[in-house]
Amino acid sequence: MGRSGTLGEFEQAVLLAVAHLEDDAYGVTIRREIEVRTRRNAAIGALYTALERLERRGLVRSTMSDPTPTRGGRSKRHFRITPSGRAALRQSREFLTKMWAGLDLDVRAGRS
Amino acid sequence: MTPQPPRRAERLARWSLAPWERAAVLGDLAEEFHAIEATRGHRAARRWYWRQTIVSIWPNVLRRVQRDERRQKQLRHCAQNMLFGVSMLALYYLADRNDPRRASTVFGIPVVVCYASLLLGAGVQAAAALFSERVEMARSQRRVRAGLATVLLALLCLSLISPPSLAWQWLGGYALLFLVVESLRLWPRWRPDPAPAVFSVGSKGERPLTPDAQVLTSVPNKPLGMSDLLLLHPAASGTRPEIAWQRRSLVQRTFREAQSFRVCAIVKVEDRPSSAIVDLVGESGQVVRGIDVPLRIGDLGAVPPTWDDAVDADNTAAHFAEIDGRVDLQGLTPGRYAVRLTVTDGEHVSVREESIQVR
Repeated sequence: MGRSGTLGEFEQAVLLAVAHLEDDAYGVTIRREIEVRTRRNAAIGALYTALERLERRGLVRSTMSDPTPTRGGRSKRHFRITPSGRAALRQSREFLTKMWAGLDLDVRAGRS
Repeated sequence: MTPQPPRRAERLARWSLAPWERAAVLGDLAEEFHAIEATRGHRAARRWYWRQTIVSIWPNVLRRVQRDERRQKQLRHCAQNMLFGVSMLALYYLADRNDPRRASTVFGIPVVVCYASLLLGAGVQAAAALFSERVEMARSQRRVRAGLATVLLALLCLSLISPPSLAWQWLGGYALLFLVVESLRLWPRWRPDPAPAVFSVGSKGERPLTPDAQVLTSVPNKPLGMSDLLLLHPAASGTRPEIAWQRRSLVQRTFREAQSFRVCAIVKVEDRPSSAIVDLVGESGQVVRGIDVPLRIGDLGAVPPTWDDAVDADNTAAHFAEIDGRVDLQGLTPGRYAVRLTVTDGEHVSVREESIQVR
């Protein structure tokens, strides 16, 4: 991921998952969302590292919920995307769209 | 009996996690463990738990180090020392492979001086730890480090007094142990889960707050200690809104065993605000906690009666947004923090700060 402000692939995935889940975004659901949509299995440690980085950059915010018995009396850390997070996602999409513009990549043929 | 996650794996995960995120991550692991256990069986769930724990150790430790300024300093110090150790070995081989005694004298004496002071420091620390209230684990870690420093010193002395044929072996042993000791510095020190924070709210005002609002969720039935009425007026010129701040509580209170606190406020708006954010800002200006606060918007009728007298008579057409958010205090290091409430109405931003002291 670029430190200057662009989002890495995994960070984009995490941020998009948080945006999709809205009020129900916490570790378990974010991991499942990424797995269901991309078929990639994200380690919980890597996920929290990405979330921490996103929070430090002000792209998501977190809040702790009340403890629940199904989690052994532990609370959930809920994440929400911030306006800056939405702007970063838009910027990321625009950047990729511009780079893809006019390019018809035929991977199977091994040529463009 | 409900099956529990593997205890050793859970202990390993707990060890690798920072105290402030243990509850959330271990809770996630437990929740998913139970989900897998219900669908794919106990063995699969255990396998999944172990895999997640092992794969997550490195990211967890890295995250912990990145967020801990004290540990970052240790890391830098450790990297410098390792570089010193490796360069010393390289210089030794470059200087004179046939006369290790001379080489060990040249490079050994500064190191002896360096480690003698380290040993002294470790001894003082160990003695201080014995009389302090530190946990047993920290005390024994200091003893181990002091012991290792002694072994290093002994190896160096041996390398200086041994015949040349043996000196390089002692030096090699020294360099190896040096690297081991420095690696141990990276070992995350075990700490107990954070104790409930004690914090005081430095808010001033004129009268008690409304009884239905409760600041501290972890201290039930306590009277409200912090809440204020925020009046958000769009300026007459239309350039930006201003906040008229009316204080509602006078007493500076101290709350013990608080795990979190609630920020309650009422914002009077012409247009409906788009968001309200509560940040906990450290003394360095860095945001250590931040939450989006849900807004409940109503008309004047929805405003609690005790706040009526604070509302101007000509504001009957205004909308009121009730702000109610909770800020988690777990894992916060002691110090002074600013509670910053930021309200935006889509175009304008207004900010209000209040200070708290976490001890």
